[in-house]
Amino acid sequence: MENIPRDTIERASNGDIGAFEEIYTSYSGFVYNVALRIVNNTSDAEEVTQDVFMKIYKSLRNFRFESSFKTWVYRITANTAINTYKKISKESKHRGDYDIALKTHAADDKTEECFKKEENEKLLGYLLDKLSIKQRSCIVLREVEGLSYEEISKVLGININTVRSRIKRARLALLAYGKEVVGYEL
Amino acid sequence: MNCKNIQELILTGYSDGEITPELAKQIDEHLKICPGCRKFKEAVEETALSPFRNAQRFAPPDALWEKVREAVVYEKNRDTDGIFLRLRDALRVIFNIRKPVLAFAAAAVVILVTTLFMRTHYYNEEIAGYLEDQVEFIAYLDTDVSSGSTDYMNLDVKIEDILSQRNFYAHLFV
Ligand SMILES: [Zn+2]
Repeated sequence: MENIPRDTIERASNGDIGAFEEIYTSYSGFVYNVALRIVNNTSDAEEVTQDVFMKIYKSLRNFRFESSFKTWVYRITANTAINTYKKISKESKHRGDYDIALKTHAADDKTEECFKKEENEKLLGYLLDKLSIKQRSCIVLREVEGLSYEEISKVLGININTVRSRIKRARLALLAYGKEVVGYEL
Repeated sequence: MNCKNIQELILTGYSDGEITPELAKQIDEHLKICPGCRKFKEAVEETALSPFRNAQRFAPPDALWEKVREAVVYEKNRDTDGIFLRLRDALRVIFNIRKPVLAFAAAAVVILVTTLFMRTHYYNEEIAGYLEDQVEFIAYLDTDVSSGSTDYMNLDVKIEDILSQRNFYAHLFV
C-alpha cells in the first residue's frame, strides 16, 4: 500500500470529504480486516472501522508528517481494535460466534472450494480465540497484513524482540492446540 | 546449531523470512538430515501457518463508508458551530471592557481573525485559541488600568451595564 499524497492529507484535514474518501478507500481494507481478526466478529469489526476513521479525521490536523502516515493509521487501527476487544471481553459477552465463517457463504451453491474456505474460516476463528490479545495482534499484523517484525514493533510500540517472542509463543500455543485436536505427535 | 535452536527459528524468523539467506540455507541442510525437525516444521506449517495464509480478505461493507461520511460531516459542522459559539463568547468579553480604545482593539482582533476564518473556511483550534487569548489579554489591560480603585458601587453598575449590553447583543448571535 502506497502512502497517501501529502496534499490529500492536508485537504482532508481542512474538511474536504472527497480527499477523506481517498484515504478511506486506501486504508479501509486494512482497517477492516485487521479489526475483523482481532475482535473476531463482523459487527464489532465494523464499529472499530468507523471508530478508526473518526479518530483519523479528528487528528489529521495534528499529523505532522514526521512519521509515515501508513504507520500512523496502522497504529490507530491496532490500538482501537485491541481496546475494543478488551472492552468486549470485560463485558464478558463473549462473542466468539465465528460469524465470519457464516458470512463467507450463505448461499447453497457451495463448491468444493467454498467449502474449504468456510472450513478454514471456522478453524481460524477457533485458533484466534486460543491466543492472548498480545499474541493475537502480532500474529494478525504478521499473517493478515504481512508486516515485518520491525513494522509490527513500530505499530504496536514494542521492542522487536518482544514481537519475535510473542509470535513464537503464539505459534507454540497453536501447535499445542493442533496436537490436542488432530492428535499428532511431534 | 542444535535442534532446539532450529525449531525456534522455524517458529519465527525462518517461517517469516526474517533471517539471512545463509542461515535459511543452513536450516534447510539440517532439515534434510533430521526427521524430528522436519516433522516439527510440517506441524508448524499445518496448524500455525496455513490457516492464516489461507485466510480470506473481506471487503468492508459498502454501507460503512456512508456511516463514516455522515459522522465526518456531522463533526465538520460541529466544528463550524463551535467557532461561532467561541466568537460570541469573545465578543461578550469585549462588552466588559470599559476603556473605549481597548474595546476597539479587541473588536479589531475579532474582526481580523473572523475574516481570516471566513477566507480559509478552515476551523482551527489555533485560530480560535489565539482569538481568545488576545481578547482576554486586552480585557486584562483594562482591569489593570482600573485596579487600585475598587469601588463596589461602581462594580455593581458595571455588571448591570454589561448585562443589559449582553442581552442586547445576544440577539445578534442566538
Ligand atoms: Zn533437528
